[in-house]
Amino acid sequence: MAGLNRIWAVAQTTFRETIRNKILLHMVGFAVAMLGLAWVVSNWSIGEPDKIITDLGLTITVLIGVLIALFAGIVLVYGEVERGTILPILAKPLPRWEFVLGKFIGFSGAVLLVYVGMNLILILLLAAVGRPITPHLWQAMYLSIWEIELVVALALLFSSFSNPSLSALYTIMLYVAGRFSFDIKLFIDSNPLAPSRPILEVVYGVIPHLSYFNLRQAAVHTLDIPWERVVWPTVYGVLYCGVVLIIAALAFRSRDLA
Amino acid sequence: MTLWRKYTSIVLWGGLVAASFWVLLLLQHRVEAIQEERAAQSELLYVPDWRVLHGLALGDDATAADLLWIRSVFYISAQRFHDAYHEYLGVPHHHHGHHHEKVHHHNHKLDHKDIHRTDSKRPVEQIPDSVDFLELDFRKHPLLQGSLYWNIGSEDGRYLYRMLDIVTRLDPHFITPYVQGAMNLALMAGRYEEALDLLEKGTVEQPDRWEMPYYRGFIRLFFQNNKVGAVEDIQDAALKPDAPIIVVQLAAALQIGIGRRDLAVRYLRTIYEITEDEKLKTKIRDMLRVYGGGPKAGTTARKPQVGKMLDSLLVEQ
Amino acid sequence: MSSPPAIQTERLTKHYRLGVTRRKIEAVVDLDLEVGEGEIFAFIGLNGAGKTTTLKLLLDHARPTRGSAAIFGVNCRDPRARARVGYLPDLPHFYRFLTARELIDYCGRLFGMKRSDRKERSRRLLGLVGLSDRADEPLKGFSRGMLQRLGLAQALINDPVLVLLDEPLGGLDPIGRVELREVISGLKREGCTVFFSSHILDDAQRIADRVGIIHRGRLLACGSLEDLLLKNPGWDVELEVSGDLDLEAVCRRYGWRQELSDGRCHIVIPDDESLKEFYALAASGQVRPQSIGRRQVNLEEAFIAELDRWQG
Repeated sequence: MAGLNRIWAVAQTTFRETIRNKILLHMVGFAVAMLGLAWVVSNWSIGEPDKIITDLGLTITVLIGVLIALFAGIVLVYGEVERGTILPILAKPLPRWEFVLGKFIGFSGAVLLVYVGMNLILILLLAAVGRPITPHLWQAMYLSIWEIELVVALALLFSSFSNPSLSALYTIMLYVAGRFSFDIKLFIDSNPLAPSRPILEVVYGVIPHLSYFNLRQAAVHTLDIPWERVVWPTVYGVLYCGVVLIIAALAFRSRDLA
Repeated sequence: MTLWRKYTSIVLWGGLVAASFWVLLLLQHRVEAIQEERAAQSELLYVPDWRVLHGLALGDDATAADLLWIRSVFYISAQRFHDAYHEYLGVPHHHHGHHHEKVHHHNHKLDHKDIHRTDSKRPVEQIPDSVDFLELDFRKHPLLQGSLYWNIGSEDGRYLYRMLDIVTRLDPHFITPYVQGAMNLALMAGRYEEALDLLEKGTVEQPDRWEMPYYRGFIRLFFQNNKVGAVEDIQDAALKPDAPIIVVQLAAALQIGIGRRDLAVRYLRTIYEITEDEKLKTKIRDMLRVYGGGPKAGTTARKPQVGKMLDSLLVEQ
Repeated sequence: MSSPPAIQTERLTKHYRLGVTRRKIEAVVDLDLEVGEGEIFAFIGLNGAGKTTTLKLLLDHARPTRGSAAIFGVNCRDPRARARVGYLPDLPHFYRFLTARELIDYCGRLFGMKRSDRKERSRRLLGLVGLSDRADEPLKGFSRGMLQRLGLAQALINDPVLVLLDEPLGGLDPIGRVELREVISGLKREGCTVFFSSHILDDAQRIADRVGIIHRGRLLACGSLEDLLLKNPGWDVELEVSGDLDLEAVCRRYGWRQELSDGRCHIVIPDDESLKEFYALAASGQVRPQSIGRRQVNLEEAFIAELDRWQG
C-alpha cells in the first residue's frame, strides 16, 4: 500500500514535469499543423477525400505520439541521472523498481493525454468533412495507444542503462522491426529452408509485434474487426510492456548513479 | 551614439540577410530555367518499387498509397497544365490531338480471363457491331473536360499506370485510384488495356463494388466500341449490392440498344427477384411495363432517353 | 543491548572501472567507520578523496565492491534504511518545472507522510530556509544558493534522525553558511545525527564533534576534534636569540620549524624528545626562552600533518 502511494507520487510528478515542458506544446502545435496539412492534401485527391484524411490523420497522430514517446522517453531516466535530480529522490525509502514503474506510468499518462487530444482534434476534423465516426475508428485509435506504450517502455528500458543517442538508435531499430513483424513472419513461413531462419525466428520472438496494433487500414475501409483482434493484442501489449519494465527495473537496480 | 550604432548594425545585417535571400531566389529561378521542362516532370514520375514503398511505409501502407495517389493526381494535372500551356503559347505540341479520333477497334482479340465472369449460365451471343444508338457527346461532361483534349501520349501513360499499380497494391481497398486512374489512363493516354487491367484488379480485390465493372463497361463502350463486353460489364455492375438504380437502368437500356430486349427483360426480372430495395422494385416494374410491350420501334423511339440517362449518370459521378 | 550506531561501515570498498580500458579506480578502500547517535561528524578530504562515493554507498546510490554499510543497524542495500534519513546532495538539482512546494511535498509523499503533515512541515521548512515567498515558483528560475537551501528543506521533510550532507557549505554565501551552521547545531540539539562531507576545514572545525579524514579512498584518521588536534601537537616556543647563533641551521639540525611573528621569534618543536634538546640549548645560554606552551593546532594543520604522515 505504501509502495503504491510512492509509485503514484513518482507517476504524478513525472506527469507534471512532462506536461509542463514546453516541447510538448510545440509537438501538439506540430500535430495540429500536420492534421491541417492532411486536410489540404485530402482535397487534392479527385475522390474519397475523407478516406485520405482519415488515413493521414490516424498515421500522423500515432507517429507524433511515438515521436514524443521516443525523444522524451530516452532521457526519462538518463536525464535524471545526468542532471542529478534522481539523487535526492532515490535517497528516500523508494525501491528502484518503484521509481521505474512510477516513471513509466506518469510519462505514459502525459503521452496519452497528448495522443487523446490529437485524436479529438482529428475526430472533429473528420466530423467536419462529413466522415461517419464508426466504432472502427475508436478501435484503431485504441490499439495505436499500445503501439505508443511499447515505445515508451522500450525507450525507458534503454534510458535506464544507456545514453540517449544509443537509446534512440536501439528504440528506432526495434520500432522499425516491430512495424515489419508481419513481413518477417511472412519471410520465415515462405522460406522454411533459409539458413537465416533460426536467427529470424529468435528476432521474430523478441521484437515488439507492432503490426498487431495497426488496425488503421481496416478502420479506414470499415472492414470487420473481430473482438479477438482487439483483445489479444491488448493482452500482448500489457505483457510485453510488463516484461520490458521488469528488464528495465533489473538493469536499473544494479546501476551505480554517477 | 550607441543607439545610432545599434540601428546601423540592425540595418546592415538585415540588408545582408535580405540581399542573400534575393540572390537565393534568383538562383532558384536560374536552376529551374536550366532544368528541362520534361525533366522536371519526370521527377514526378520517379517511383520506387512497391515493395520499397511498403518498407518505407512501416505498415501504414494505406497512407503511403494516399500520398502516391495525390502525386498521381499532381502528375495528371501537371500534364494537363503543361499541354494547356503550350496550347496557350501557340506552340505545336506533339501530344496534342483529339482523342476520339484515335479510337481503335481492336478489342475483339482480347483475352479476358475474368474471374467473376466464368458464370456459364449467362448467354453469350455474337451481337452485330453496328448498333450506334447513343447520341451523346460525352466530351461535354465536366469531368472529362480537359483530359479529352490534352492527352499525355502512350509513353508517359506507362508511368501513370505504374504509379496507379503501386497505389492499388499498397491499398487495395482504395476505390478512387482504380476508377479515376483507369479513366485518366484511357482518356489521356489511350492505354485502354491497362485501364481495364486496373479495373479488373479492383474487381478482384473488391468484388462487391459496382464502380469497377461499371467503368470497365464505360471504357469498352466508348473507347473500344465493344458493346457486347460493355453490356456484360454494366450488367455486372448493376448486380452489385450498392449499385445505383441508374446503373440498373443503363444495363437494361444497353441490352435494348443492342437489340436484346429479351435479355433486358430477363435481366430486369432477375434484379427484381434479388433486390430488397422497394424503390428499385417500383422502378423495375415501370421499366418492365415499357420494355415488355411494343415491338422494335420502341427502341428507336427511346434513343434520346438513353442518351439522357447516360448523361445524368455521368453527372452522378 | 545498546542501540546500533547511526552509521557503521565494515571494510567498505568501492572500485570503479573507467573508460574503454576499464581502468580500475579505487574510490573507497576498506573503510571502517562508526558514527554514534547524536554526533556531528565531519568527513573531510580533498576533491576526489572518496567522500561523495562513501555517501553514495550509504544511500545505495552505488553498490559496494565488497564490505558493507548499515544505518541504525539496517543494511544500506535495504530501502528501509533510508526511512529516517535526510540527504542533501552536492550541488543539488531538482525538477525544473515543479515549484518548491511541490518538490517538498513530493519528497514527503515518498516517505509515506500524511497530507496534512506534509503541508504543515513544508510550510515550516520553507520558512526555515527563507524560501516562503518563492515557494510557488518553478525551480528553473532558482539560483544555486536557493537550490542549496531547498535541498536542505527537502532533506528535513521527514524529521530525520540522521542527516547526510554532501558539501553543504559549498554553494553558500557567508551569511548562508552562518545560517546553515545554526541549522546543524539546532539539529544536534534535537538529537539528530549529522554526517557531512567538506573540504572547508574552518567550518568543519566550528561545528563538528568528530572528524574523519579520508584520502585516496582510505581513512587516515578518525576521532574527536580534541584528539585530532592534540595528537602530537608539539610545543610552541617564543624565544630570543643571543649573539651570533644561526637559528636556521639549528632548526634544520633538530627538525624544528621556525616562525616569525610580530618581529618575535617563534619555533615549533614537534615532540618531547626534541624539547630536551631545546632545554640543553637554553642551558648553554645561546637562546633565551620567553614562553613555552602546548601548541594550538587548527584542523587545517592537523589535516596537512596527517597527509604528510601518510605520504612520508
